[in-house]
Amino acid sequence: MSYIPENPLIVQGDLTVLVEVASPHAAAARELLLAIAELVKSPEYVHTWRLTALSLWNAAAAGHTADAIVARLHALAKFPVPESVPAFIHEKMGRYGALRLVRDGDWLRLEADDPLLLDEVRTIAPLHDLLTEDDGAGGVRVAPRRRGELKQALLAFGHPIEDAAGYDDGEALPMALRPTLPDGQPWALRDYQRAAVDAFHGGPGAGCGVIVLPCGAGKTLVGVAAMVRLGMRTLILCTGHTALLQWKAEILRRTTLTADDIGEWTAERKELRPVTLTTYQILTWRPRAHGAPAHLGLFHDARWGLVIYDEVHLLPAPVFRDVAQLQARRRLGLTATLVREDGHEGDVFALVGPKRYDVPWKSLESQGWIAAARCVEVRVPLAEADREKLRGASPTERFRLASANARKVAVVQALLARHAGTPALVLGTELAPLEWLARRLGLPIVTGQTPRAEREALFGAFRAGEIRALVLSKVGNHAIDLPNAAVAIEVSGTWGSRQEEAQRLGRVLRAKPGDNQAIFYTVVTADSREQEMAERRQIFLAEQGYPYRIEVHE
Amino acid sequence: MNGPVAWSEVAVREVALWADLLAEPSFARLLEPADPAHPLRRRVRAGAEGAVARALEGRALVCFARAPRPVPPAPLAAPPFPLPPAALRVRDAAARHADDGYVFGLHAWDPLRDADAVRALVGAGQLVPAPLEGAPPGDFDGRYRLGPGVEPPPPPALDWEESALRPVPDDLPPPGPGPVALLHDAAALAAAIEAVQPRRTVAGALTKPDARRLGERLGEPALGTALSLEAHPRWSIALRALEALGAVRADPLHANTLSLDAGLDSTLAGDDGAATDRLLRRVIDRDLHPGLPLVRAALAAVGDAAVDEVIFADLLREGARELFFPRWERDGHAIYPTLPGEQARPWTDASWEEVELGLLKRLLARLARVGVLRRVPGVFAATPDGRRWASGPPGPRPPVWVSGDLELIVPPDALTPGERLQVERLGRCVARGVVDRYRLERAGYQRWRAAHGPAELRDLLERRAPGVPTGWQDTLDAWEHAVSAITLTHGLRAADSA
Repeated sequence: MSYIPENPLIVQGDLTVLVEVASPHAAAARELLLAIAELVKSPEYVHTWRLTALSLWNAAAAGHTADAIVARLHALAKFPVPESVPAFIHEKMGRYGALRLVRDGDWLRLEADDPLLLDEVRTIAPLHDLLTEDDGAGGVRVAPRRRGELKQALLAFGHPIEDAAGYDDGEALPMALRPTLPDGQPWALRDYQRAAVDAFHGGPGAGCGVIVLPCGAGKTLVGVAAMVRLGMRTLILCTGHTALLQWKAEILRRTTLTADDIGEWTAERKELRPVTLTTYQILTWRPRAHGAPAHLGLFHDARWGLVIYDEVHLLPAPVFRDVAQLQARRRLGLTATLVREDGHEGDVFALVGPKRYDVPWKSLESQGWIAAARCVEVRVPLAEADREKLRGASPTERFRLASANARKVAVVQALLARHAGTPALVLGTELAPLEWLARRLGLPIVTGQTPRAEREALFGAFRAGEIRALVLSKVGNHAIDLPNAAVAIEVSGTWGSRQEEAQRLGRVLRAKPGDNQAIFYTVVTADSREQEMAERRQIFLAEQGYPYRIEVHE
Repeated sequence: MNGPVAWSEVAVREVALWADLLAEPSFARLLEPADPAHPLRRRVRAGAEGAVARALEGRALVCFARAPRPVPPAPLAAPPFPLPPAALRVRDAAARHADDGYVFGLHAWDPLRDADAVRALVGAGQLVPAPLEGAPPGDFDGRYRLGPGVEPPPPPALDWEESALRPVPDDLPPPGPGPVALLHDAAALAAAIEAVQPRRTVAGALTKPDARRLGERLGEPALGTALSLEAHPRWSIALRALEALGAVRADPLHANTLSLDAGLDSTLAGDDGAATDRLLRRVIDRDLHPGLPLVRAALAAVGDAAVDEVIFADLLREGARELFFPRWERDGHAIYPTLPGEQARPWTDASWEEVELGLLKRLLARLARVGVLRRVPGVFAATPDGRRWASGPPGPRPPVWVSGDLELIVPPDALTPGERLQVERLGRCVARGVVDRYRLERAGYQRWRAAHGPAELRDLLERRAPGVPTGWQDTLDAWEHAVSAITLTHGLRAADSA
């Protein structure tokens, strides 16, 4: 088998592509793969990408050809490329553009160069009620309101549609980015943020898609810049009220829009303004248990030119149905972890749009845009009294006992003492043990029940350095802007949730003045079910190149 | 009174652990009384090993069961006086004809002419009589064991270049599958068998669920679902290879469970060439073995060229004929080794054509069949695996990459077969393709530790991987800490225990 050591790529028959980071041609390989594959993980030495039908359709949409891709793979491969891979690339890319959706007066028209393909599509039973009638010119008529459903359904059958029907422009909203912040400091988008905005607005299929950036890398600014460049009315969906307020503050700080231009659609306020912010909880709230969500109409209440989905990996399933009807609007998804534990990544692709921009966490760390983080798993033995309780306990009970291990208090105390003077967050899931821990440590705690004003006051005191450590329940998993936090101590988690672990690390990743260092501790009970779950939780971060050092406390 | 020949023992990392273990009186009854000289060890009562393992498992205590590490024999002290040249010649002949360290005098020397040399070697401990049952004492034809450190000398330096054919004739067949890939597959399957302990049905096939479990470990999802192991084009051959090597056996007393023979580690040890050589010696008839080093030397010397069989045979006849059979002298005539009552065959040029040349052709045909040679009548050349057998791997090995998520990426030719067995034991193969990807597992580490010491993994990674993430050592230390708390070692002997 021929072997070219200096080449970076290893192409596997299972469609994964490995990149040796130390290769002199690694940058060229990365450039190719960004266009044609999805990053699966990026630990030290070798990054893993995967060629998928979706990623290749993405590439085809961006104008790449199968022949050129195969030639580049051969040129950059260390070992011969398995024959099945070029065949897969040709077959999948050949499908893109074979079906097109175009505007035809008030209707849409599905057309194909190959009449047999259209015949095949007509035979797919789930599509029967989406396709109305032949238009007499070799195409099929489609109702505009079924555009999303048709795309979703055809994608499921392996037929991506080239959507050339365009977008409805929303009502114009003139705005610009300010060159300076209110305190007079100049600011500008970072290169990767600008590249992300360019990727969203430029190229074929522009105007819909997902931007993937690490926590602390400024996704909000990318969203704001994308909105400003478009200059149309915008609806922004956030994960919670705190995140909503942060979006509002950033828009006011960075753009020429005023408070009158920005509305909040929340439990307290129902303001429909040129830029309206709301939360997923409000959108999915139902007045009756089995009734329809009361606020989904917000999508259609104004001529939105752009809908922004913050933390799109959390987009609730009921919202997908309405997103399907929003195909004539531009759509931007923002996330750090395009990992859905419910497996709806395909729906995000079909209905929000393809991934337009992605950057490995470690790349931004090496450039100093996010803090250099160290992860440490601290293993603590279970208290003797609790060991007895483990016998005969159910797996759930064993996990709960391990999570609430009383010996964790001393460890957290020791860790806080180790980093005395550094702003620290203590993160947990189970409320009762967390409140007990906060009392024992004498630290303030923020949970879902903490009144909003008190919560904001505590966050403000933490930012101002008046509080050196804060205990947070699951409310701390997302969009809590505490940029000075440099130490995170996780004392319990939600089973094996990878994205929760990543989001919690994200709380300390915001770039820091000085050494730009952060440290993330996860305290687990040794040799327990919690330790097993911790290993699963760590997969995403390990994939992004964050190794866990292990400390054992006896 | 002598103690038992072998025993098993439970060892703990710290004395305090005994209090917890012996709190259960039924467990204490399974152990021999404590020996104050060894406070961390207690012998297990004869036949109670299974009960000990079950008792520990029942109390959710990690018990690490292992076989004792083999103790290499101490090298022989140099003889007080130099061995005579005749003894050295006989020792070399014995080493060349030995299989698994045993040699029959009949195959290696002339019992009459070389009797004194054999006595000298026995006196120096370089040959140890190991007569078969019923053999008369002092039988110079009989079986001997090589002393420690007695190795075959390199084959004689013949002018192999004379036999080189350049360019390689184009009618040689293309290379087929070779033994190196087979050794790697056998190592992978062996590790999977060790982990899964599959059972055979009465008909002899592996049960479907076990085949599926093997497939999960081997990174072959089709195994056990779409294809049985016996019908799988790749793994059925690997299973046959393991059976041919005697590395797996089905124990009818334990529901036909397949288990792994501890000897596989030593069969796969060393570099590709050494492991291939051992495989060839297992699958090729014993009477052809003396020709193997000669073919290997010729292939190493000619490199990419082919070998003219006629010239090759002439070189052997002139310079290495006695490597096949010792020449006996009887009544002033040279003859081939002969059994009592057999008619002696004269040692002549004509008999070379009948005897040695015939053997040589059989050997070349077998080597071509095994995938070491490409051959047409009159000419042979090395396959890529043949070149590896003769000269080692071509060029530098690609590195093995390890990542923080405990994954190992193994490119082709990056490991020797013995190293492959280690890696397959340590982790589950998650994808097998151009490169193989493994995920290390705690249970795998425990299985691996049953046959290896902790330093071996560190050495392997230092040898093959360009860098190891810091988290690895922490994880391995934590696993080692867990497996070394309580150890049940089977089959200790006095030498092991010391």
